[in-house]
Amino acid sequence: MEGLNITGQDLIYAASAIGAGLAVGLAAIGPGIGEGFAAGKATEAVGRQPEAQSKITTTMLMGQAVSETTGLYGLVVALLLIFVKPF
Amino acid sequence: MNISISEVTSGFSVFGFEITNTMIWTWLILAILSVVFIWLGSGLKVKPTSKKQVVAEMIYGVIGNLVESNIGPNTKAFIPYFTALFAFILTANLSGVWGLGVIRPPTADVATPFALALMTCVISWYYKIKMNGIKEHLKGFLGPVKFMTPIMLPMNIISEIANPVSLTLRMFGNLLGGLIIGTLIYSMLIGSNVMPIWIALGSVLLCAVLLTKQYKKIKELDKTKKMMVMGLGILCCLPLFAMIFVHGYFDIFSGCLQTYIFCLLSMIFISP
Repeated sequence: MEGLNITGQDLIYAASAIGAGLAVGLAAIGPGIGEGFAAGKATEAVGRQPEAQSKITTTMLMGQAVSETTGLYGLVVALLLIFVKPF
Repeated sequence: MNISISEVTSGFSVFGFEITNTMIWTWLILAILSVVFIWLGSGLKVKPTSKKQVVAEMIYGVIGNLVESNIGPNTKAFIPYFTALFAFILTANLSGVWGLGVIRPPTADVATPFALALMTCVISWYYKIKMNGIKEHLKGFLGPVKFMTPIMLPMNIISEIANPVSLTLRMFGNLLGGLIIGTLIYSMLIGSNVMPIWIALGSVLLCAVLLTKQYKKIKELDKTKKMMVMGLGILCCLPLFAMIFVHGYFDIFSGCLQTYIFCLLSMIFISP
């Protein structure tokens, strides 16, 4: 194969791309499970007390948005790897 | 069409300070909000006679309830701060609905959420020191029992730093993630030269079908054919609907939710 000339910088970019994908993917597992749990519990609560639906929904959304932060840390790391290119 | 993710760019500099587009939009939003709130707060009477005073009292009441239930009683001094915070973040988050790169939401730049979180942080320190005294406040870092101090002190300091960082990254990550996903979907749907033609064709078809309902001259088309043409039009217009969904979720829903959460967590963070 002629013309295939991979430098160290290219390898770093490739590894950064793989790392960014891994960061988002792995960081999405925890919040996904957690938010699903919260939604399931909220559904149970609405089934038990349908009249409190709006309050339950607000509380659920707030808790989910807070637990989403852990996933967003992974997203921020991936964005840094792709756009800022620290290495 | 060449679509790229909008960046924080500096157009010019004044006295060595780079003026970025984030700053320009921030100042514009602040100016508009200042005018609106000065107008809302002017000419108040004991008995409300105008509609705008009712609106102003409603805003004050909602934020006041939120502050009182989260920070504690006798905390009226925080209401102006949280009203300003709420209004600014909401306007900044919703400014992304104008489409690609028209306005880059100021909160999608890491500097703006960090500044807001730092403000909350300083206010919380001031309030805690004012409530408990500086000695008690520093003593709180050492933990309840003396032999736990080597473990509790670093943990307390880390948690004090982690609060503004998590506040910052939550809003920044949400907004920038939404911006990037929106840009990707835009470039997927209308990035090629073919897609605008498809959308135009779909719009023409939809208009034609809708017009035949009004003008009975073109009644030769029977119902199944009409439905088929309409379905084709909707299919061609699907990218437009996808854009509506993207803006509705990432800008309006996520923006409102993040505003509420930022203000609520700031209140919880400030409460002693």
